[in-house]
Amino acid sequence: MMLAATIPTYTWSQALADLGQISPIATLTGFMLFAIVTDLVIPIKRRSGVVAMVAVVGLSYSLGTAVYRWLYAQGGPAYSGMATGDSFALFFDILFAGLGILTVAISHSYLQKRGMREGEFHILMLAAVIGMMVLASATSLVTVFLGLELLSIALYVASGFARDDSRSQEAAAKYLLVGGFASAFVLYGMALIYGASGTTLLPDIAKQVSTLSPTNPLLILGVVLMGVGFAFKVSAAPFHMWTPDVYQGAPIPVTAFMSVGTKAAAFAMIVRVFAGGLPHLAPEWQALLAFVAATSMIVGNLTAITQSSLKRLLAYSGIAQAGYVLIGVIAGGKAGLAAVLYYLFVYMFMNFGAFAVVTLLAGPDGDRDRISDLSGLYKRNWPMAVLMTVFMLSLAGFPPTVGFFGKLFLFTAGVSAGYTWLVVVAVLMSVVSVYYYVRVLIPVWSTTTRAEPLRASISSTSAIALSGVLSVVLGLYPTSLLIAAQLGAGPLSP
Amino acid sequence: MAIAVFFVAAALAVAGGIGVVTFRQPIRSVLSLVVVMLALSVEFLLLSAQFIFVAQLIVYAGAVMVLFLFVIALLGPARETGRGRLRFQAALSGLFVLALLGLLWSMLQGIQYRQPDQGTDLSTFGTVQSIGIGLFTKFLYPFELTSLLLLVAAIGAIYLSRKEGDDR
Repeated sequence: MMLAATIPTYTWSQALADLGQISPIATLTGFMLFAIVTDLVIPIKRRSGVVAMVAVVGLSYSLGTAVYRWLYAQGGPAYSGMATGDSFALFFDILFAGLGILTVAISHSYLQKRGMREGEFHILMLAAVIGMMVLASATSLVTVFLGLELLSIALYVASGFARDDSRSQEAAAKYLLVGGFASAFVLYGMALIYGASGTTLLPDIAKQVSTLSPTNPLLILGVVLMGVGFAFKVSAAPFHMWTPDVYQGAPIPVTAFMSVGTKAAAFAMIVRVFAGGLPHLAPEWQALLAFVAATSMIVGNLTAITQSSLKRLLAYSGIAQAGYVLIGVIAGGKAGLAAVLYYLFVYMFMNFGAFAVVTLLAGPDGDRDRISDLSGLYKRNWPMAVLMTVFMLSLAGFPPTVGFFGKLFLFTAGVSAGYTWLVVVAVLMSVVSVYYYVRVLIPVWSTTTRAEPLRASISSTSAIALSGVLSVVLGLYPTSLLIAAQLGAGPLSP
Repeated sequence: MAIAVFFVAAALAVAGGIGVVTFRQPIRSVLSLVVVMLALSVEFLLLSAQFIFVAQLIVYAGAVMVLFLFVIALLGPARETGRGRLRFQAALSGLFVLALLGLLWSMLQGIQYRQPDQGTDLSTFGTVQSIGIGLFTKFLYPFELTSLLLLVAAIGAIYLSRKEGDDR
């Protein structure tokens, strides 16, 4: 052949080694395909819960694989540098698989109550988890973008999952449009960075950029455009407008999953791309993110005060929390990134738990998420009242809950990196946040005439109880998780 | 010569893009999008990416756009109605576009672009063979991820478009 290009050799042992590096992702993909077949094959009368079981087994396998690799395997690049199985990726794999299990646990009874189809729901959740894992293990702009889209598309559909509910449809349409807009920003920025560096592999970009002048307009524009897109994805102000509407409209298990998962995945992406790929442009992106962090904390906390819907309140609280986590990203280094990883991990328990309690309130006609819907919770179901109190105090940052230590690590990292003004803003705004977190607790513990018991399925109860117990236990013994977070931050801190 | 072709195609692409957002009739917007796709395919050809040029023509300008036209024809090509209360948005968006354009323009003054990679064998670059080899070796992982992405999109589309009570 005259056009015979040289074919690089790709051996079986190489293929197995590559697959091993991404084994949590590969395992989960296999189970997702199996779940699709299960949903097709099993007759509808006997189908209830089977796909959920497949999903839980798949997520547990993936979790187990990630833990095994964390303990015994050597992480390294795979697929010609497109992905990696380092400890940073594994830390997030464990987080996302755990979050997936919790979500499936609370959504089974919710979907039955609202008469929604279960099969597609769990398949979409698995796809979103896979997208998040891909994002956390991506070391190339190509894979970063694919992971981002995989998780986003699954969640666009999931937020419109209640097809007879116009608010859910509105949420899906808004999320799709804003998400597409944000993806376009990210892609434009990536194209400029590629144009300046000539490669999409993040470690190579770091090498190339170090030889270029940091005032190169392509680089600065690329960083700014990517930063804007990333800020959309972590729902940080001033790019947060979509968050309350989407969180309010989407079915609550989806909101619970999204509020933790999308945020953690987007932070993994920010750290991978900015700290991993563009460390030489740190002053530029640190300035950009510092502005975004300060705005998020102020806008999120002040707007949350006036909300009467729990979903909207938690959405604004999530915007504020994104601001706190950004402090750790800006501070960087081992301490800063470890604080980010620690906070995202414990945020899973406290924020997911709060949403999970709201999930229980839902009726067949829709979600009940006004703050007054919580009234008399301690009479209706006292363990849930106690757990809700733990989650709110943890989100507000009271010791000895995990929220206190999360904020402590973030703020100390910020101060030691010289961002004292940002930490001062954060502390002041945390004080403000106590007001609205405690405001949620007033109806929970108030006496009321409405006292019919609130039933919760075993799986929901155990998921919420686990989140609550871990929110306290990890606060009483913060060291082991902090060490794990430091190991996870290792590959990306010089 | 190549420079002239580049600028003609680029101007067409920009004009088509403006047409997509400004025309009130959906059919005209779609036809403008076809112009954008055709102009982009010419740019790909200028970069010696022959296969992408053909794929762009057949898949985007051909198949996808025809599908768009079918959908619009089926839904009835209604004119977009007036802007209603949000009339100030047009002026505002124009202002932002000009500001962003000015910003980009001023930043890109005196920029030095990276030189093209030397030593690329143009007799194989951009052919079906070299793209195929790339897809199944270096870009295997992104390629497989794309298939997963399309699968999820298909599941989502089927779920959202299925009729009520069609649960078997």
